[in-house]
Amino acid sequence: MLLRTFMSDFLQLGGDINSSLTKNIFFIDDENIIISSTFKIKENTSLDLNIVDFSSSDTDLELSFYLSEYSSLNFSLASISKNNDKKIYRINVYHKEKDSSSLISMVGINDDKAVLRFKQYSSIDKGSVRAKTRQEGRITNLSLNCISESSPVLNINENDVKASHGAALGSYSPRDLYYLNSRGLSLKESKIILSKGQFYPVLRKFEDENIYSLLQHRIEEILL
Amino acid sequence: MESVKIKQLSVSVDNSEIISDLSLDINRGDVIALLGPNGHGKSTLFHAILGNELYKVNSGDILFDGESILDKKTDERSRMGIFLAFQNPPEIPGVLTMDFLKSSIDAHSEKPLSIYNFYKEVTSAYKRVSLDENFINRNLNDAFSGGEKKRNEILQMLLLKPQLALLDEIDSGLDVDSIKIIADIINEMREKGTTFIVISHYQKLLDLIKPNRSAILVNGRIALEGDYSIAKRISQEGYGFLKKEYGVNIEKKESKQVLLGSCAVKNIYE
Repeated sequence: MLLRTFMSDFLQLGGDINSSLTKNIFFIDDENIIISSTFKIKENTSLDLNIVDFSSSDTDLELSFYLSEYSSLNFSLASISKNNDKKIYRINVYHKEKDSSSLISMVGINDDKAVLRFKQYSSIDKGSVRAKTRQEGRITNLSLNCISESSPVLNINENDVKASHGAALGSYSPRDLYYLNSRGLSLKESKIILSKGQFYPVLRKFEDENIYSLLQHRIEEILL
Repeated sequence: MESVKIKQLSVSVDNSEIISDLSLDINRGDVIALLGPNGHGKSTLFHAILGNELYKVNSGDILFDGESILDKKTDERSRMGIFLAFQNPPEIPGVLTMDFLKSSIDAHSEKPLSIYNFYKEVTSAYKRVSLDENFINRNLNDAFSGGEKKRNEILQMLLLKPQLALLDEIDSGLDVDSIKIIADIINEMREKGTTFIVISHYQKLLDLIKPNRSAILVNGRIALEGDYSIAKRISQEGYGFLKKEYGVNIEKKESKQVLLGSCAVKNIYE
């Protein structure tokens, strides 16, 4: 409980980011997550924010980021939604000044009758020349009854910018599963190894070996 | 002693029968060259033996060590000792080769291998297949060259020590030195009792492993069986003699139309 409070304080408080920092935050318990906060990333500053939500609960997370001149945001999320969980993530990025950049990358696995929604919004204001934004959302469905959504929205009001997005919803490749089965791994074990692979780009940012192992173990616990 | 007995097997893919009434007895320690024109069912036979769900067994049976395996899933067949070296192994980004190999070895063992013994075995296997051991830190088959993928398949075969190894064009795209490495490993494992069925369109590998039997698969069934001399003859003359001497007609496979979206149609041979 203390761990959760300590780590989620940063998210709940929001505020100004005056010096470059990296924050890795994870949720693995069964309490609902309801957070709505705003961050202003000051000029020449970067924020690297990585969130893992492997909680067995509902989540309603809305984070808004205002980017100043020469600032950058690197946001990544790994989420598992299962049983009757309802998880929704809204990430809003406002490029207010020139030479700012953002990368929003969200990966999820959705199972049973759960709901998992990724909503990404990026706007680039007039005058924010050379701003760059990229949105990525990928959800793997393990059940026919789950509801998944990955919705990227770009609102561009300047010409000299780079903006792109990608969204993918689907199941695991039967060919990949067959290959893993052919090496003696059961269907469940194969799905776990593929899930760990899918989350690896986010989880590898947790450099503490104990936390990394805890999160890996949590994937097995949820999906087995 | 029989290792595998295939009895009057018929197999369909997408409601199209590829294997028809095929029978083949394979003895322990056999090295069989499985030959035949493209599209006549060689790879289909391998996938049917391994239990790929896309390949539907309509009739017949496959016995492994006297036990029917048709009700076993692919992973169970693997753990029983059947291994397939894929013609085109998939690239799986995000899955570390190390995690994959450890999980595969553990799936075949009564208790998990210690990390020390795992590294010892894997390091030795990488040396045997002449691959840099740093490949263990790369994503599974991701951005591997064709030759590296093939050697990675053989590496897995070394680690899993199967009773029956099915090698599907393991030599295609390999240079001479790599073919020699693979042939040496096959010969070594054969000495230890592994049974092999090898699909190859090149004589080089077959010359190095000298199969004790050849089986020619035409029109979904075994048209001719014999010793290695048949494989040699095919490499010199092609399949033409099958009709003249054995009355085997090689039927042209019907082309099937595949729709590519709504704007293109491509004809392929199954």
